[in-house]
Amino acid sequence: MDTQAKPPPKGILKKTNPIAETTSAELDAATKARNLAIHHASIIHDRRKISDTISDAVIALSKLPSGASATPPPSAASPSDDDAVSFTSQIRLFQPSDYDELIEERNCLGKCGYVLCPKPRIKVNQTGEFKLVNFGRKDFAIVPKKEMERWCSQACARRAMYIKVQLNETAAWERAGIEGIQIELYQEASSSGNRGKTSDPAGEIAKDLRSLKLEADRKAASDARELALERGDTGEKAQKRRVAVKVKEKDVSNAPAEPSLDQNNDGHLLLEGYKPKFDAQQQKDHVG
Amino acid sequence: MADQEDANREANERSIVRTWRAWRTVHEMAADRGYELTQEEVNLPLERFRERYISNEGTVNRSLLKFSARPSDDMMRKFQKPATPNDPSPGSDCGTIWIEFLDESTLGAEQMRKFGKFCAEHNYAAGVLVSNVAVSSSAKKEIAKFAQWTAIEWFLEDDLLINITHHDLVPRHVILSRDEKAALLKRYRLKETQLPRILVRDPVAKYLGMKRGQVVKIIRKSETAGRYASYRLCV
Repeated sequence: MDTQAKPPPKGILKKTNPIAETTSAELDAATKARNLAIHHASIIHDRRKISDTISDAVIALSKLPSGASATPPPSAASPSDDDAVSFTSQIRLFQPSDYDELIEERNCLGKCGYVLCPKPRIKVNQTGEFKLVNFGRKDFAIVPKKEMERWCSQACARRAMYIKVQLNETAAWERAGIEGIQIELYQEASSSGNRGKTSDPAGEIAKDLRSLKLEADRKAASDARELALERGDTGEKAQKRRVAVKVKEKDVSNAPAEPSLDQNNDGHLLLEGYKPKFDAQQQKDHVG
Repeated sequence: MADQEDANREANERSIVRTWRAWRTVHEMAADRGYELTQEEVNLPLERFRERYISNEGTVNRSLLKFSARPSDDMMRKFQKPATPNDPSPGSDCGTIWIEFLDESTLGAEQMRKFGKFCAEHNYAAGVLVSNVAVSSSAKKEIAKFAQWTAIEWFLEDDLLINITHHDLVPRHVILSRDEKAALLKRYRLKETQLPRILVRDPVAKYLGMKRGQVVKIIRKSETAGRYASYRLCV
């Protein structure tokens, strides 16, 4: 305050050294900008890292299944546990488009598109873009040849697509930390009853819907729990916070008196029996 | 049995001729881009190719089909980087090129990664991989990861069976240097974006190994003017 009261005489020359005045502010801004830049760079770096992991996973998964010499040899229906675990853990970050790339990669290597299937993909021995499937039957379809050549069989196509519908469209770096995302393999029915059960699209949709509903319910429950915690009325917390309340009767010795108006007529100024003196005090000060 | 053998030999023969043609086109391509190659290397006759690159079983030995080429002085000068106060004599954009025919039966991300690593480790400025099988899309994605160290290109053998620039309907394309491009833009008072465009994946642009931002001068024959030049910006 003292220094400001007596400012030094202002020179008429140009300021030669304005740096001394601005360093701290400039430095602050510079460090802030630097930190911001580093922050964003690290975000980009992390994203690159994740996309690198995904492309590494594509290469690794295109080589599965391992251990073709093991007994019994693994099949698409009953893969070895190691393969299944590495598949479900690595596929977690995939987007559907990455998964398509993985299938393409496997097809390039001549394998069936389903990761856990050791068989080669089928080659349709005919020219032309399309192929007739199940000719003369009820489930007759015209299928692009390319589509058919991606798999070794219909069953594998179904297994692979079962994985695909579980994958999420959101970017991989947004899901990287969430452990709740788990991919599950297609539940194989017993080999005899397999066909009738799995070829029911309505049933599958219903199942999907059920799982979707389950997820929504779970989310609603967790939301409700958080809200309750915020309000402070969870059962557990309330138990701890309870205070013992004792009701104490007040002793009354004399008879109740009839209320009377105040002597000095400023009853209207009273607030619960108290007369604020703020105004009066101020007025007195002003006059004084 | 004899029929079977005949069919096999015929298929082998066809494959040998195809590979030879691709081999020749790839050499022409390198020479057209300005790399130093001798006339004998470029015009290798089929007999000599057979002598050199055919294995005992009568098939092409693809593991031998690889070569590197150094850029000529003209090319180095043409693609000189612009001088800056800090770096008065910068190097050239182009460097030694490595050309290889794929030796495996598949071309996935793994093979592409191996090729990119090889080119980066041996300090090749550019690498060309000629494949006789389809390329997967994750393999194409790998190329971008090596962009910092080496420019990877890939061609299908099928696309190199003939040299497209020798076709009657393909006019002469000449890539402009940085200075020439600046002069052109100044002469016509243009911004880059006001030029007509040519895609990076255009067959001729791929053949010449064009990069984004380069300008190509296309010299056509014209009935009225004799010659007509147009310019296109590579995007």
